[in-house]
Amino acid sequence: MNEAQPILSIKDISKHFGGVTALDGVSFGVDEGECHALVGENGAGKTTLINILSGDILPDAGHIEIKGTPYHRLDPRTSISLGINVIHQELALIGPLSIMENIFVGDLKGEHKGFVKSQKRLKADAKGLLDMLGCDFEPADLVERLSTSKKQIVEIAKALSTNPKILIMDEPTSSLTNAETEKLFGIIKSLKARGISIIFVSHRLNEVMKISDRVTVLRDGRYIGTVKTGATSIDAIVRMMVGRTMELYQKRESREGDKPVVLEVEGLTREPYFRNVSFKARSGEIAAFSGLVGAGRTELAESIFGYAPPDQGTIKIQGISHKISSPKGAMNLGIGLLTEDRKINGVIGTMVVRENASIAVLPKLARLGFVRRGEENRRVNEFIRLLGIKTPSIENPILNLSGGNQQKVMIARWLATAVKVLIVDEPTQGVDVGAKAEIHKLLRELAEQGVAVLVISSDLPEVLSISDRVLIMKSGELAGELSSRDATEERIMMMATVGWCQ
Amino acid sequence: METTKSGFFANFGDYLRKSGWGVYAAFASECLILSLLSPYFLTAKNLFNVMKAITFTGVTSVGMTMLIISGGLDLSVGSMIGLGGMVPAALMTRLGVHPALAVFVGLLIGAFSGFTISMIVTHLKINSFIVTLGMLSILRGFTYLISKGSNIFVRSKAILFLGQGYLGSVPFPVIVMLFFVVIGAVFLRYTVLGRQIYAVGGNERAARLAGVQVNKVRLFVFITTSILASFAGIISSGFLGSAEMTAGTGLELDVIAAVIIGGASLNGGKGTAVGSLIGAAIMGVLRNGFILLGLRYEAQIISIGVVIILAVVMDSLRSAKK
Repeated sequence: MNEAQPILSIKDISKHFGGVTALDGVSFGVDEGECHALVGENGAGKTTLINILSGDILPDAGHIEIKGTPYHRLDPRTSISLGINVIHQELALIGPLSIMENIFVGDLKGEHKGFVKSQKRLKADAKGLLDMLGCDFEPADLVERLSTSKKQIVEIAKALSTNPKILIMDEPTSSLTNAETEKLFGIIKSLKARGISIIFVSHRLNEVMKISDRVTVLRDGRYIGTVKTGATSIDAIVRMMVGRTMELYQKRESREGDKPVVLEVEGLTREPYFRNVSFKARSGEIAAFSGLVGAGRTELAESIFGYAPPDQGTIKIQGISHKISSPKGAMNLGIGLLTEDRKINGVIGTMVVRENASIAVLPKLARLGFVRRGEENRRVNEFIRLLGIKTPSIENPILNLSGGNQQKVMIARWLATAVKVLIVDEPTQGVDVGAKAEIHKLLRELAEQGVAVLVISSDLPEVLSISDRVLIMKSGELAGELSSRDATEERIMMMATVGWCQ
Repeated sequence: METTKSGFFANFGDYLRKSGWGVYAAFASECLILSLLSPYFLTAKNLFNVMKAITFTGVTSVGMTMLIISGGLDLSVGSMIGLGGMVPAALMTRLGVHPALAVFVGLLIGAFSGFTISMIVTHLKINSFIVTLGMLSILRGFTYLISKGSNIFVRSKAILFLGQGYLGSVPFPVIVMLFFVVIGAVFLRYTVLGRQIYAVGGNERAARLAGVQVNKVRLFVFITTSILASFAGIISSGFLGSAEMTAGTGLELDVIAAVIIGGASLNGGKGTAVGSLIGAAIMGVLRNGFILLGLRYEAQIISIGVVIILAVVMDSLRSAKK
């Protein structure tokens, strides 16, 4: 297979955005019928490369070759006609339309001029594709009713309808359960058997090791190398990604001993999301909240933070019971919430880095209602330094920063408020390996300074490495608690899925 | 890397980012072209006339700028101008109320209208476009009602000075307009509440989760917009010497156009008070040009519409480039 010409060759592709080099002379090849993983830290250039392949943006230099034939300028239609299909992390389906309409949305022309394909035909064709993927969905069902993993399969079927040669999957497993991931891998294997190549872009290196044939690593926009998956290890790949060996997951030495309880929650209930949740959080401690997607962790956090006050139960801060009815109220008590999904809940896209960092402490930076710009600049610059945020200036529009750096700005936002209790929800989601380790270090330092840190995370290795205790939620209830000593991935998973463990 | 921005020119750079250099360039070229085409354009008398003509739009646009930045809209400001002029005039003429009290009541009505709109938008969660569309008719209806079918003369010296007076050779209403624009600009740029207005417009959810009291911010911008519109109506009644039933009709479109031309986005999060003033000036100078050059009135209206569309297109092209 390696002697034959690669189905897709990327030749010397470069792209700059203003002063930032996103890609710098990247070249590599993807073979027919292989699963080729593309890995790299955020900011390494993966997303830019995907956008160039899909025809959404034009490269400044370089071209691609499909089986030896060069193409210099791609647009989305040409890209699809060449057999390149992208399944983005944020699925591009139309909710109010049916499965079959979504699959054929690019090709609805029927036999008669001006008319759309008949329902019967749409249904039959859709069923054919779904059967190929081993799924028995009802083609007339509306897409908005489907779970994320089912939506993903619809996206794959949509891609299949265009006779793809290359399928690019961007972080396909980030919202899937283990079982659903296995199913996806099965589908990938069957696609490979039909000669379709998969470019698998992911941060999850253990999955990359499982499903890919070869791995290409990008770093800072440059091509670092391509290795056969069978001949390498996660360590070696990480080394290529960050340029240095990293000890990703050291188990945290548990700090036992009685530290003061800062937050005490009793009988907290908010139907239908969670009920009867009680726990204590101590100063200087990192408590992780594990559980499956939908277990109610984020909703619990939102209630403690006053964004969605609970129906029942008490919240005590340093022994005193409080009614928290707004985020501002929570902040006044020293509680902070670093939300999940910063794009929707955290980042204010129309503002610059400085404004995003200072928004939560503006009143404290002001005198008589006027913001003291000198003080604001000083503080923000301090955090830029402290957190290692990569930006040419604090006046840079925040959307120019990479995902990991945007997340660091969000962290700066909360650190600036001098919290006593900081809840972080999926703090390293969509963040590269290097920044992940830095964020973990930050959380540990925060705990050291006496903050009670609550980490909601679906990343089990992360949970194990940074927490003193793990609280597991299942279907809205607190299923149990494991100390750092007793916690293992298997035990956590057991509690999260069935509610108990050995 | 640290940059400490300070000083006027660095701040001006911020302005350009927030409202785009296109506005200033367009305005400068417009004035340049007109000064070449007509010898009367650059005379003090003409320039002051242009500024007087845009006073009502200018004053109202300060509030509307804040509102649009926050993500809202108010279609009723034109009607509020009418009501704001009519109520004090009626109080003074028919009930002999003292001008100061009459003006106060006029502004209070503006505040009440803004309060009502804000409550409906915030708590009943109805789009501000629809709510204020309804208010447009309601307020105009009240204006007709109070007027009892005829315009009411304004005899108060203070109000007449407000609309027709001069400080030196500068018309007083122009000074008032500039006063409000400066206050608005300083407010938006330098105060906590001003920054929070931008935050709410940029990403309301994120702002709320960062502790911003979104409902209070909303209330503030709606009330400010209506009060300023009401005040513009009072100035108008002084300017004309009478409170007209039809005062302000259609002006809401001019005000919104000024704010958008000035660099604001209907999605929120962007815009400046000075930009909106330049936006109003661009339209004012255009109208003035048509008059000076003796061109047809119909062509004037068409070209205003073209300018608005052009401004929005250029703005979206500029932000799409990123």
